[in-house]
Amino acid sequence: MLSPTNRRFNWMGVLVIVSLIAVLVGSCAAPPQPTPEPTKAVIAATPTAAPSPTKPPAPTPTPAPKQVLIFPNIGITEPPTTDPALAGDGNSVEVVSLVYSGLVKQDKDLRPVPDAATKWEVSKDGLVYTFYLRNDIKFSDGTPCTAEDFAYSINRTLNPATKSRQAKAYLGIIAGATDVLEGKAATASGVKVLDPLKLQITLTKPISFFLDTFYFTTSAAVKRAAVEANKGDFTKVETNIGTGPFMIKSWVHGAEMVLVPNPYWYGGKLQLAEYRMPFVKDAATAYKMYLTDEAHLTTVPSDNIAEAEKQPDFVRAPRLRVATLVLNLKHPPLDNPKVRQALAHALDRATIDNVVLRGQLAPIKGIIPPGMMGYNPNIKGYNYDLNKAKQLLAEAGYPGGKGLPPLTLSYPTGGPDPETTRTVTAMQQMWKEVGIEVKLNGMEFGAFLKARNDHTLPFIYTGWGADWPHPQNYLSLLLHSGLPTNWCEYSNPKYDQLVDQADVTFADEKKQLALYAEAEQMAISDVAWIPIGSHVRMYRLKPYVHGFVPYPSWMLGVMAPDWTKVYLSAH
Amino acid sequence: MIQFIIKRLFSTVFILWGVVTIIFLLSHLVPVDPVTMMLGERYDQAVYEQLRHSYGFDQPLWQQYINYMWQLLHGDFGKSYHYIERPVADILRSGVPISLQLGGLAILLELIIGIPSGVLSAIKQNTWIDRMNMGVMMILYSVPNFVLIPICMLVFGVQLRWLPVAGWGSAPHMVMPVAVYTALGTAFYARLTRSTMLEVMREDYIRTARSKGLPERMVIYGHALRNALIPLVSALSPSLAFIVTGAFIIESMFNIPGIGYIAIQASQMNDYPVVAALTLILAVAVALMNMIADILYTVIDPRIRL
Repeated sequence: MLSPTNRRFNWMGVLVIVSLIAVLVGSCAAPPQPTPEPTKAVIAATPTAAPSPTKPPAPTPTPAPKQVLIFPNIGITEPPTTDPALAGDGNSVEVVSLVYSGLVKQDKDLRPVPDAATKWEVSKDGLVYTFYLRNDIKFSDGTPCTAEDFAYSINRTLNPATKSRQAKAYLGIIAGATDVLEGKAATASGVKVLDPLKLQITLTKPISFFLDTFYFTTSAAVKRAAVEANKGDFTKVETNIGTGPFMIKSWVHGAEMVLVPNPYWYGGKLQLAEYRMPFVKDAATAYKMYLTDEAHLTTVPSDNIAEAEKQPDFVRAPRLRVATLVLNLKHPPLDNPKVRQALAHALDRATIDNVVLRGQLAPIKGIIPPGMMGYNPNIKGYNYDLNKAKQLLAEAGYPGGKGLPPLTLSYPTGGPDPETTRTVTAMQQMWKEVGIEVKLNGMEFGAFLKARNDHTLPFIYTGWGADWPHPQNYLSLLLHSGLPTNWCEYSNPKYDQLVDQADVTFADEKKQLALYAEAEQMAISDVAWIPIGSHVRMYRLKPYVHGFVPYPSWMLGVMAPDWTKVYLSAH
Repeated sequence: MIQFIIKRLFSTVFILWGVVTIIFLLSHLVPVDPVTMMLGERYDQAVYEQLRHSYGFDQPLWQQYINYMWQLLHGDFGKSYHYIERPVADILRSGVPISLQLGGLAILLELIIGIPSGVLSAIKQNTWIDRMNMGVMMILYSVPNFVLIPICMLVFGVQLRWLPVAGWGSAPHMVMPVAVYTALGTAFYARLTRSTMLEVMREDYIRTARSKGLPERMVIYGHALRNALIPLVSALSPSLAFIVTGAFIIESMFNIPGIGYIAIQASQMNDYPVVAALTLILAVAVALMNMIADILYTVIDPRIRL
């Protein structure tokens, strides 16, 4: 005989399960920003001064007895990967950049400086790079690392079996890389080991930003024997053998990683004994951990900015990420330049920054964010001018917005940018002031990305974080006609010509920047983009942690230019 | 009994098959394309096609369904989309024991505190003891976790510095999350015990027991409480099942790497293989717990036969 409970079992079990599915599948938030990473600016640029931290220089304090640094990795329960070939998001790169190293790295001004390579030569035609390696590079297991290892690592990243999502973007310019990516060759013809300390890379095009792409983890050295012995499984500690300043001592998946100095690192002896990296999903929790000394660094959640700003340990770092409106110039009423200018003049960026985003979106008028090579503070953009906006709208034939065809602004409700809904709602109000009615269409981040890739949205609010800190990564990649990343299909032959020329002007930086500046001004004058601001990240860093500087990046906004100088003072 | 278990297991298999199918369809019919998410903001058609192929998304839906079922039959939940190339089983393996610790400890405490205080209230019905006890329980029951947790963190962590605000492993780490987890459940069981006890105390057999001259203690614990436990058992089984999936809010806010925490992350990242595996585990747990509850009824109440 079946008990009455049996009936309950059936519907209750199913109900519980179905509701859980609904909750899980239905909840959708933002993944971390999977845009890969800036490098140093290839050529000397005058980086704009980033807002400096208000930390007074202390008179060489005494080191603390316990040299354990605790920097949480925020926003994750576990780094998506520690494989240099696969790392494409800030959380993963944060780990990879400690354990691995490449031929070149960027300094705090995003310039290229030697890392495993002491120097490099570029051929006259800009196609051949010869890297001279240090003679004392060792992996963290004590075995030597040579040009052969770098060649292996590059080819491994390109190999389709590795499934790297960044390989094409970062290494596709190398001669023969496409053959490897398509599975037609095992090694790229443009990667040659001349001798154990000399690596030669040949490009298909003399691009000016090659070193910027080469800073990224896709070309960092991994140890072949370790990778092959563990079948490429980088979730095991023993696979992660690199040439970086640290090595992984223990890794509790989903909880914490403990790193210790790599005794064989060519950069010198570290003062730190340990680098603890708890994985903290919730930024609010990380902030509380900072307050209770369970963390030495934290990002500041929006709600805590007001109190944090007053503290001496408050740090601001530009994020090399631009928030912008992108317009399709063929879509009515956006096909009328006066309407586009009216839209631009009606926006009060300072209010958006101060009121809506609490200082997280520094107003800009151009496309290139401050802190990056090619940033032009003198670009002729569009001021906040209500009268002018009204006047332009009237001239366009829509006085007070009468008769203006409907306009819908699409934006992602989640994703890497904070408070998007509040931002676009503020803009909607500003446009209403001049009589322009704009409907808002908030989309789930994944759906938004897909629509943006398919170029189906005529008017979007979106962001772009630099893969590498070079104007090419904005101007050529996002506005050159015919590219999938040109979301609103801006097409201007003169513009294309300018950026194409600038991309391959590798010897004369001044000329190159002039070309980019001209192109940027053109896109802004055409109102293809209405840039709103560049993101700023807020941190708090314990005053007893020494050796870090804020720097513009889309990943961790503080960096240690020299790991041997990082230490904790008595507190 | 054996027959009952076999029957029940047989129907469970069908329920699980239904669950798996629903999850499969849902995760393939949502408008979000996992490959788009993998590529992030930098879209490239060739890379997109290659990844689609490597995950088998370019095959027809029925083919993918068969592949997925075939994998499951071999105990393989597939690979995560977000943790590149990492088997789902790996991800879950680290979380389950932690959620079991947290939930198990909390449920034990809930019962140890909740049932006696419910009994106490029932015996002292409508006295100040009862009113105070139930008042406290009412507060515990109604304050949501996401309010209680920040308050606890601020008071015991940031202000008093008694306890750490995040992490798992040592005893101090466990105090706050277990206490918060326990608060709600304790209140629930106390209130439930009180009401069922009051109901049972009015039954004829209690009067009979008393008139036989049994000591009051025997009446309450031997006769009344035993019968009052039946509704408790049916309430307990889903909460036992749910400890397998962790406590979503508590684990997230305290940064405890249990299954709840992994689930939230997975759903935010559109990591469907992980979500599917979690749902399946929960379904199994609920089915098993209900079966165990049914067996327990027979132990508590001899009148119930399976």
